[in-house]
Amino acid sequence: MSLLLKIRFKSLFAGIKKSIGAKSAGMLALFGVLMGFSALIIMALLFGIWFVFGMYLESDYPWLYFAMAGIFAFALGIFGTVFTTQSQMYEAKDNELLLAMPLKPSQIIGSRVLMLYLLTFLFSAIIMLPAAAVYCILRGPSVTFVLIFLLVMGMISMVTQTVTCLLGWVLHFLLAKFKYKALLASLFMAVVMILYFVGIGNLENLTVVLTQNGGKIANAVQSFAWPFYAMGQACMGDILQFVLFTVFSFGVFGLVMWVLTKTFIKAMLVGGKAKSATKQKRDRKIRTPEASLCRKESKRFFSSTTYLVNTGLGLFMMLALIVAGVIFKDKIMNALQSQDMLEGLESFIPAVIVGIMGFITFMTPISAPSVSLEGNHLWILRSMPISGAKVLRGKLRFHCIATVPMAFVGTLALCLVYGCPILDTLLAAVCSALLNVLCGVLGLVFNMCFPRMDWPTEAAPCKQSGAVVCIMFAMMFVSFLVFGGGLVGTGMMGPDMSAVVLGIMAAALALITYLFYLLLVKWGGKKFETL
Amino acid sequence: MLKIEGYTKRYGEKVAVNNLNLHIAPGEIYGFIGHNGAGKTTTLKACSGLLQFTEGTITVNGKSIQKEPLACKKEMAYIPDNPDLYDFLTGYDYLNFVADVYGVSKEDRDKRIDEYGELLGITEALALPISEYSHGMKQKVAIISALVHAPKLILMDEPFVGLDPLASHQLKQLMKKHCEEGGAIFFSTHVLEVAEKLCHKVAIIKGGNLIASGTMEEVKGDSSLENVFLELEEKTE
Repeated sequence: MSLLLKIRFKSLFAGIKKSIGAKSAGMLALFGVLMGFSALIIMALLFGIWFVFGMYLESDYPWLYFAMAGIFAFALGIFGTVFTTQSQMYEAKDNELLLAMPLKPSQIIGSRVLMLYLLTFLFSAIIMLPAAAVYCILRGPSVTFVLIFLLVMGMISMVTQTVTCLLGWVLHFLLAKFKYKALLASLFMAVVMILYFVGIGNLENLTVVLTQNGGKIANAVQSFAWPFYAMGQACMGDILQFVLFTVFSFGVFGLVMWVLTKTFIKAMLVGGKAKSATKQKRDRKIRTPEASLCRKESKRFFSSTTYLVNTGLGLFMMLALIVAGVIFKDKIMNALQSQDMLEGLESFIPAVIVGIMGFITFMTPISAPSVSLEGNHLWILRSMPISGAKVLRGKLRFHCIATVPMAFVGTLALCLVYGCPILDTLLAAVCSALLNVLCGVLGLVFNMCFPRMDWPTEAAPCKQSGAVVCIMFAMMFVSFLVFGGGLVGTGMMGPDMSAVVLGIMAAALALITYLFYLLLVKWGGKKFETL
Repeated sequence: MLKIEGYTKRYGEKVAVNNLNLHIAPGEIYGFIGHNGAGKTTTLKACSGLLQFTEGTITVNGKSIQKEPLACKKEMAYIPDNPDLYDFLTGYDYLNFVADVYGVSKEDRDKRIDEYGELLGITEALALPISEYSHGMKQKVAIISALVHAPKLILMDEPFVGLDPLASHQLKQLMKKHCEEGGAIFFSTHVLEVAEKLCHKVAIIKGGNLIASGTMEEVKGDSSLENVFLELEEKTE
């Protein structure tokens, strides 16, 4: 077990080093500092929210304050790690190898769960530490509180990990029965994301509802979510509830681990060759090399749950946004006009739509892990008479086919529904399309900067690679610039000149995209040939 | 067909292959023998353009693999020791993908896929996803993919591993036929009996150094290849 853990830790650090291209301890430390800084920013934001919820501490049910912290940490942990858990436990490349060794399934599962637990603990700490800090400010710190709080935080992470493991287990067995499991999983994630964004969008109202209805919520938690009540009471110093919560946490953890251990080999078979495969029709179509490469990429994309869920979610979100934008047009327009947000609102709408459509591209980094995903298959392309530039163009082509039409048509539809002038509408659609092309090009450039070919599961290049993280931040930044530039430009030049502003934006995006495209096919193509 | 002159590959301080010189002519099946880690795969990868190197030259029909890699790759095929194929494609999809990249006509690809599929006994399975295949089945698809574009030179790394006896026999016949038609094959193997019966020429490598090469008769004389290999291994200890 300790040896397995050692291997997992080694693999984790090697993976981080490779994914960020760190060649020295200094680079690794810098990456750590940057990640720590990002976590601190999130914690600072949460700090403010916990001050609002601090009113619970003065109510008849002060335990609800920590119960809420536990619920938030639990929800974030589940949402953030369920697919990672499923893929790391059941789709790891070394599962068969380890099972062939004189190792018990419990040892294999134990080592994997511990690594996942650390990730969940991190999520919990980001949510709960600001809550503890606020509590200490309002009530004064004590050694007993700090000790109990840390133990409770460790245990709520354990409960979260237990439920995540159970969900990952159920998901694994369910997905094995569906032909289009990648699509199904993506759809599920899209629904969760939509609910998440609706929640974030209504955070202010939600906070008011939560703070004004403390009594009802307290009753509900006590009746239907006892573990959170127990953990809240434990944090407030109730030793009996602390003991009960401890027994509960270890009890459910042990029970679930027992089930996972007993069914591990069966789960491996369900996910592997035991399922009957259906014969597919022979495809006799002749294609150009690039078209064939593009088809190969599409087959990979639609057959891999991990790839589709982590990089294709934006497609579902884009569709949902377009539909919602059309259905709720009157409500949205009324809300904007009633708040007197902008004078000559209609002329700003195309820029707003482009900004939002651009923002969604951070959830469609399809091209970003595509080079890394070649992994062990790299020899196929490298031994063929095809240049690196052509391979990258094939990957870009698929990214564009998957994203550009929907962005273009969606922007056209939204602009037309919201009554924008034809020229503005067309230019906005071009901008949206260009943002998606840029996302594809930049994703590949980042992947060539941080290629990660020796991954244990597809989750590593799709979710935890430097390329994916970079493209997500880059597209958020670019979208913010486009959004801000559109609003400021139209504001400064006047509503009549909105088409000019959009034209400038389109030209700038086209130029930037072209420059990065040149970099990709020249430098990236050469680098691909030496991977 | 394939000329290796002064090829040296270093990994930092370690010399994986040292000043290797070999010439594989059209019509020849050239066996490459050596213990694990001797430098066989490193050499085959360099010949196929998968591995960069700085010392020596490798040419395919007079074209340098370093300077004109795409032109060289058009004329050859490579089968690795462990063919990791795209498991999200079916066998047919994979073979069509390879044929598309090499620009093989519809008639030729259909004819070759059907012919080699039947010969190796995998036609039925070609409609299934590769993720369902055993190692041997993947090896068969890799062999068909190497033959689908009718290359002049075929590089094979342990091609018989995982093949059933019938497929193994058929592969030997295919290799002979390929060379009778003017093609050349350079392959590594640990099965010395196969090399002895199949190869026109053989090279033995140890610790990155070539310790013997030439026609089968020149290398083994009246003895067996196995005896010669073991003697040479001992001598160079």
